[in-house]
Amino acid sequence: MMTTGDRDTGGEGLFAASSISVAAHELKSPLALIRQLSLELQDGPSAHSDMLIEQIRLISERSLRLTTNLTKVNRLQTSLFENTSINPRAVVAEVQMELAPLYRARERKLRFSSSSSLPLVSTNHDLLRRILANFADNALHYADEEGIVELFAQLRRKDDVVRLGVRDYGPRISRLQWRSIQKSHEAHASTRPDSSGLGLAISSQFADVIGAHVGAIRHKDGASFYVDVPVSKQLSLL
Amino acid sequence: MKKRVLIVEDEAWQADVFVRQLSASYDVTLVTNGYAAINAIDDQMPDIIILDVLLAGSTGFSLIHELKSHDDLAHIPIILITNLAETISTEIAAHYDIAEVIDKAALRPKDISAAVAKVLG
Repeated sequence: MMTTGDRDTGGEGLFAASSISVAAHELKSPLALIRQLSLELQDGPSAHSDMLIEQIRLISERSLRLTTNLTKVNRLQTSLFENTSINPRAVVAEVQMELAPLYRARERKLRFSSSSSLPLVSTNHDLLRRILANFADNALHYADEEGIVELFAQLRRKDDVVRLGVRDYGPRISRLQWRSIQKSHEAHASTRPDSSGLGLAISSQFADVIGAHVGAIRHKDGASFYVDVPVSKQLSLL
Repeated sequence: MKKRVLIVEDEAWQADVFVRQLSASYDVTLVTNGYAAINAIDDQMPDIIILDVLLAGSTGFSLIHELKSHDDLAHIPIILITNLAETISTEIAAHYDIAEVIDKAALRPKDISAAVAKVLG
């Protein structure tokens, strides 16, 4: 369940019938753009041809990530997603590497900052990676003037969790829109574009399965989306 | 002197499609959100606005409300570009005095030049 403070963000019951239209909309946008870029290429070679081909590839990969997430979210059973002890820094580094081509093509930078030492966390590697990739993908639109979005990893000793997340920048989200983000995934589709709604709701469901907790913080100049992952007890048992 | 086109679109590569199609014939300015759009309109007084419905931090309709509330801006024609064209009825388009509604899913890149030329006469 995704929360900010005590707010319920409506992660449960996500994939009801109405969600099909949300998913359809999320996919319509990139497909429409792929079609337009293809038509530009069809009009004949230009100085932009290589760039257009690269954009088509990256948009396709982004859409495929979403469709894979949608498939997984419909098959979520805890037994299928075993938690193991994982180095959180390595997962963040993977996400940074995975999204680097997309960020580069968008003239954005995805930076990573973390506490100097982090313990292992108990989680499912694949789902945690997907949660963070969703956050980072969502943040693509909201970089600062230098194009920077930050991945972060922090140990929160009092809660015995490692907080992994993405800090984005950009126009302040209005209070009304922020409330919409908390309330329902349907509202996301009519406020922030692209995967901010569906991607975040999917992340919330993934987090439930791996015993993690997704949350968000609204800043004056953007937002942070994070997942709190329990510190692994494995080492203390050795 | 070229006519001025303001594009308000937060999907960078979609905006680039429009810029490539229009920049030869028009003086094109691109902004990515409603706040920047208001500043650009104040600075440049565009001849036409190409407006995406879903924007970061606001919607295109918020900007239309703002424009229509100012006598000196209300006349600027607006082409609405959207993936939600099926949800925008002719009544809504008429109510907001939208010159043209274009469905991104059906749009060929060259259509945008044709639409701008048609609206500007």
